[in-house]
Amino acid sequence: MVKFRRNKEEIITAYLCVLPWSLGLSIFIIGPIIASLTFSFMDYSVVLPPKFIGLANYRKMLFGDPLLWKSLYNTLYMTVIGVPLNIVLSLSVALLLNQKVKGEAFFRTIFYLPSVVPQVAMSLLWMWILNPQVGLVNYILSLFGIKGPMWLASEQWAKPAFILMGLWGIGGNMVIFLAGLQNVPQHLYDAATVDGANIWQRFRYVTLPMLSPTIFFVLVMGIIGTLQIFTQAYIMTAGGPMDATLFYVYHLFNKAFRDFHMGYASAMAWFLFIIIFAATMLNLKLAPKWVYYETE
Amino acid sequence: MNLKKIIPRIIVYSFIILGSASFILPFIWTVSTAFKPDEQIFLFPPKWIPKPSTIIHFREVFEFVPFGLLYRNTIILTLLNIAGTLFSCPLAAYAFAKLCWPGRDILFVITLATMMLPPQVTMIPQFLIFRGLGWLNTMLPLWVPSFFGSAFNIFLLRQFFMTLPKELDDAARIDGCSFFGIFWRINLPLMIPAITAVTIFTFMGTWNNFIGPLIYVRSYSAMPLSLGLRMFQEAYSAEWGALMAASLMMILPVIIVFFFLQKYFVQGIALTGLKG
Amino acid sequence: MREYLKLLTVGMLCIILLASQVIVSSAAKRTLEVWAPGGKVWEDTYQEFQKTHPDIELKFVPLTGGFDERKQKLLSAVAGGVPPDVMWVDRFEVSQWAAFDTLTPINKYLPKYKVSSSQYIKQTWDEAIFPWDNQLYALPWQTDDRLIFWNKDIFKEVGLNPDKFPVTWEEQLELNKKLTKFDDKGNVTRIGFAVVEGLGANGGEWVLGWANGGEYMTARSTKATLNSPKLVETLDWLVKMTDASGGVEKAAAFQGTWGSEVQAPFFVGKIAAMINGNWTFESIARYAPSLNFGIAPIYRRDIYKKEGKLVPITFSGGHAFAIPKGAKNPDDAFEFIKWITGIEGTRAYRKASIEFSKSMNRPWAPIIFAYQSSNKESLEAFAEQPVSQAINAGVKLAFDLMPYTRFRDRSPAALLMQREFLGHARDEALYHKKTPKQALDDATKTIQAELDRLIDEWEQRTGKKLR
Repeated sequence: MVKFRRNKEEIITAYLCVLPWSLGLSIFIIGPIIASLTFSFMDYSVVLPPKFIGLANYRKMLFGDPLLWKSLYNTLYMTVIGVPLNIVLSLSVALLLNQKVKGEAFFRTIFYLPSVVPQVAMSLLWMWILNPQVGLVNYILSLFGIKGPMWLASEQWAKPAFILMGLWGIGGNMVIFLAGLQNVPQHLYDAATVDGANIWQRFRYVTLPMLSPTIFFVLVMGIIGTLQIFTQAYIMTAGGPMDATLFYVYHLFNKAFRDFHMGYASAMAWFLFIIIFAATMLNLKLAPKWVYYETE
Repeated sequence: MNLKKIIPRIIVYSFIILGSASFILPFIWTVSTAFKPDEQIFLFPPKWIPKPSTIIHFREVFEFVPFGLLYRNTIILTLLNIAGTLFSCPLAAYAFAKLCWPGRDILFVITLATMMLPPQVTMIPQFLIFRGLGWLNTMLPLWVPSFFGSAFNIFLLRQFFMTLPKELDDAARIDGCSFFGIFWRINLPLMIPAITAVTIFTFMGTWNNFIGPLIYVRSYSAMPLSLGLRMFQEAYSAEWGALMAASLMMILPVIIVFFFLQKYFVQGIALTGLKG
Repeated sequence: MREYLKLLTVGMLCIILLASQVIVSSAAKRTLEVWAPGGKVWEDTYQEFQKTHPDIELKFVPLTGGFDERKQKLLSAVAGGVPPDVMWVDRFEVSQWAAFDTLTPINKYLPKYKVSSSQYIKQTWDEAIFPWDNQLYALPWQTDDRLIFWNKDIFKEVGLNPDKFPVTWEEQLELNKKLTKFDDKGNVTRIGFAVVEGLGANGGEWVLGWANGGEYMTARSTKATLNSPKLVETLDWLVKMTDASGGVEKAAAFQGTWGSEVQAPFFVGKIAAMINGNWTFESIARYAPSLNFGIAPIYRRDIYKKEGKLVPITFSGGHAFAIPKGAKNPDDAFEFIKWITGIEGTRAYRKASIEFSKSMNRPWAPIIFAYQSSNKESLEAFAEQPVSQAINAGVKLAFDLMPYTRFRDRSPAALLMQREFLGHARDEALYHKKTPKQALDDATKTIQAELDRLIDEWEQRTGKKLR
């Protein structure tokens, strides 16, 4: 491998390439982020001038708001269970649909469909599917002799219900994996076959490593995204029953827009930021152990 | 003798068909309800094929909101966002992935970090920025930022750039190609599946996004479909038939676009002149 | 390069296209920016205003979503110093906007524009007054109320008198037990008397508390009293009622099939009786015109127990039009809200909505306007509608009950209170996590803490004393 020493052309090209993004960051993004950090130290209702109150928001958050910890638990539950499930399922489907199957375009579209249907259309459908008495899910369970739970009406099963619904949204990651699978050079598969590798070994030693940058992306984005889960609960359960589906960002949203506590909501946002940042840095640090980049 | 080939294929096909059956359910439901007369919508167990079917709901939708106008706005917005994203994101992603320059890793971490703060708390300061720029009462806040990049797409494309083999870049460099030339002529053609993915996501993201329009749009002439659908849902909350009809009209273009962009996913890499 | 140039040209063309969409307000006319609902009926109404006020240019911005979405939009606008001139609000939130100084008090416009409280239904007017400074902040537009509906055929089927609905809570509990049906798997197949919101009813929790003589807050809304004995008693009865129809999980499962259309099960006999709103009449006329149903008011339990007299009670909510602080054109704004809530605007709305229903081949039933004399005209127009006797009687009863109605206590903590009451206290009691007293005690504590904070802030800001 020929290594090139850092030279002027490389640096100038690079700076030009990131110029639009850097401009965008400074104009549209960094300002609001710093503003929200400032607000977190204030009592701010948006419509009235903010008042500096130091760490009061953070103190209240950590010691005076049990609902906050409940919402954090609810959110972490979704992340820890939902993200791996999503990755495994979307990868499996992508692999299935990467084969030369008749009507592959048609099938891929079908798997992507639920990600496209607007929430409002899905919510009614889901309430029916998950209905404990007559819904599809419990009906199928009953065929195996299992009495299905109360799903959205039950404190214990509301979150699993959301995870189930989340699985229908694998279309997005499926698309990413499909694209990633294209970058696995055929000649590697050929070489492996020549060496006597079977399907599983080809998957384990060719596909997975070549796909690892993509998996890394899906994992990091999955964590970042799931920790901010909100809309579904807002539309379907209003956080219930008994706050079982009150997710962290939903609680934040209530504080900001229902109670006009934008300062407190900002403190909550930054607390979440620290958690997400820590998780992501951990991922970045661990990456070299399993992510294989061609360019290195 | 051919059992070895047939059994895996049967397994593959059965999983695909079973999976598809469940995945297509929401869509079939939407279609079915859109064509169902009111009295049948709440029937339980649901009648999947409405008898008699009706197109009155589609008529209702056009009566309730100026759908044609909303369509036009949404298409314009989407095209602009795709143009902006495809302009700014591959460039930045390339620099992060393939080039070596001071500040690269820090800027990358910052890029990721921008996705970690819930948007609810940056929404209002951003509004103030757009107000300062004088862009209220226009559609500008809804698409100009895309010309400056987006963290999600930059991250995604960076990962894909990093899966491309270095040998091609080196060979081109030896031939005297500039760094931009490597980007444009060597790497980009191999990134078609990834670029397609980004296009689809941007398309769908813009098509369905309603928070931005909620805050910035102040008239029908700038209103996109997503907001129209919300408004519709609010004003006619019990009109499930019309709601499904509206949803259907909103989903259809996305499905069509996706269906036709499919083939770019399977554009394999033709690696000529390379040894394994 | 070529690809990028192509993209750039597309971008430039689109910018030019869009630049032509930018709304340029004519400097000559007076403009009025109104944030209000969209849809054909409303827009016909706004057009009528425009026609009769040619010197004002009306710019209408359609509003979407419930409380929260509208709040995001309005908060951004106010923070940015660009609020509309007129905003449509739910009266329930007026006190919150007012406490944060987001709305313009409109008392000073009343004499000049000849608007007075006697023109509107008293409770709708009062609900738009902020009790901490006793100023009026919006003109009410419409309202609603709740009644008891029951299925006469089901009553006949079980041998009950179909024309009478039991009055006492004890009898109603018995009725619920008698009419609730289960299948052999223990699932609910019919709920007897639905009183809990989301389990087949609407507004039950609020109205039953008042029916029992309870109060949720002190008169000036400085103290929350959700845990007063009468309200604890009410919640206790609600728990008993829910347990009688299979318990909250089973009842919720049973209801879950219908999504947000909570009236549908009543139409097909899955609910035998319910407390619900007067908007149900139009739905019955449209979806179940041959339904044999009865209607009756909810009665004051405390008065009946003490004096044996039947005094009705009901619960109303509704919308209003307000003028945000910082509106550029407050005088025309008031002219608009006077027009739209007054006789002309309500006439225009009624006309548009009758036409719309006709064009969609649907029956029409009037909504209750806050403006009293308009309601007389609505009833006259309704008399020409081909609907059943029962629906006719029901609609009329809904109008007649308005003098007896109550509305939710006005305070900036109203939304929090609703969430604590219905989302926490009630659910905790129904799911038997806490006793009704415990649940309401906890809710009251939470609400009072927030209320105290809000009062402190308000007192500091305005220099006035509330307690």
